[in-house]
Amino acid sequence: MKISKEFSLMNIAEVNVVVPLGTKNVNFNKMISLNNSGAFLWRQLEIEKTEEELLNAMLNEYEIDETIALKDIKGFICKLKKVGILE
Amino acid sequence: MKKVRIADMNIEIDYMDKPFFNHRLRKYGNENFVKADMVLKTCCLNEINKPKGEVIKQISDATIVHIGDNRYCRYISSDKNGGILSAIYYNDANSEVEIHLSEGIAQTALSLTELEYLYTSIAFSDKLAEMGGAVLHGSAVAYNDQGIIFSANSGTGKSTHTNLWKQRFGNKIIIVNDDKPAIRYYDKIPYIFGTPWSGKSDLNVNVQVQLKTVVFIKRAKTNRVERLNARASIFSLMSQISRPYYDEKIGLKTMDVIKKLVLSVPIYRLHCNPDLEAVDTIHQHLIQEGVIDK
Repeated sequence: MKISKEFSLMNIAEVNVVVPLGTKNVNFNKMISLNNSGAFLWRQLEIEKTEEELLNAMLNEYEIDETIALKDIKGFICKLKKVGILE
Repeated sequence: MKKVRIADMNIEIDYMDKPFFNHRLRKYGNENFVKADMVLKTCCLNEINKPKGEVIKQISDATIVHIGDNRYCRYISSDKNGGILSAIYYNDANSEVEIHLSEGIAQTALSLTELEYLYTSIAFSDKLAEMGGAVLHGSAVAYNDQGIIFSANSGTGKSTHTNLWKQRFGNKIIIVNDDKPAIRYYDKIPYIFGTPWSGKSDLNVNVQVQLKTVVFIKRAKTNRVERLNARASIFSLMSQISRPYYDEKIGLKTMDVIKKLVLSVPIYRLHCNPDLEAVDTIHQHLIQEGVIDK
């Protein structure tokens, strides 16, 4: 899975903003901003990644319990899929 | 071809509805440039032939075709007979734009003049974005030479509010553009410009004024001012500065302008009713916060 090319993550005044571009811009009316760990996962997903690869990346980056990290990743992926951001 | 200069953009323009555009462009004529930033032409045809090339994007009834040599065409097809209603030919830099309208399009909800107005406005907006500026949906005023844009969705009362400013302050107020002022940055300072695309009202002047603030209007019974945080500012601006579906590069450039605006001007939400008290509320607030001078 990976982020659709028609979405971009921009950091504006320390806010991580999800920006729909191109055709996604027409019907996408959600306003999504991400916290720092969400932005980290987004950057990881700019290239194709499995859930396991995401978990490893997150464990390398943050001092976090594996169970909590996996729960966060699943929740994040679920939200992105729900709004059509993941390919 | 008529030569005009709008928001420091040199345009050679050829249009169909002469009375309408001669009037709208009367304040923008400028013969003092050799090279145009954009050459913009509009014409009406009996029938528009399907452009030949590689289809690179299709969304709803719109198709974008790469016709070669950094040239593109996006066209809208009729959902009734599949015929082409409009076709916009443009190059990569948006410096050459041709708008072809089919006679059949006149049977749709908008008149030919309204469509010509709309498509020329989009061409201007795209080129402006390509040059690092943006068009913000709002009613812009100059108060003692200090620019304020009142923005909101259509029908909220932007023009009503700026008319109240005119009523309250008379000659101290110039309505720069009543619908879509242009914004450009020079030396990191934002300026607003009048453009002929000012909606139905034709309220626009060919001036350049420093932008001091953007105020988003929200209808309310009582008047109060709220300073927007970065997140609310970004999303409010994103909702009123359009990013074209056919060009991601322009979309990103537009986001750069939003970023600059959030970092360089204070952004407010005015909860207001359509009374003069609303003007006093925001006027006093902006003075107290040092955003504008009395």
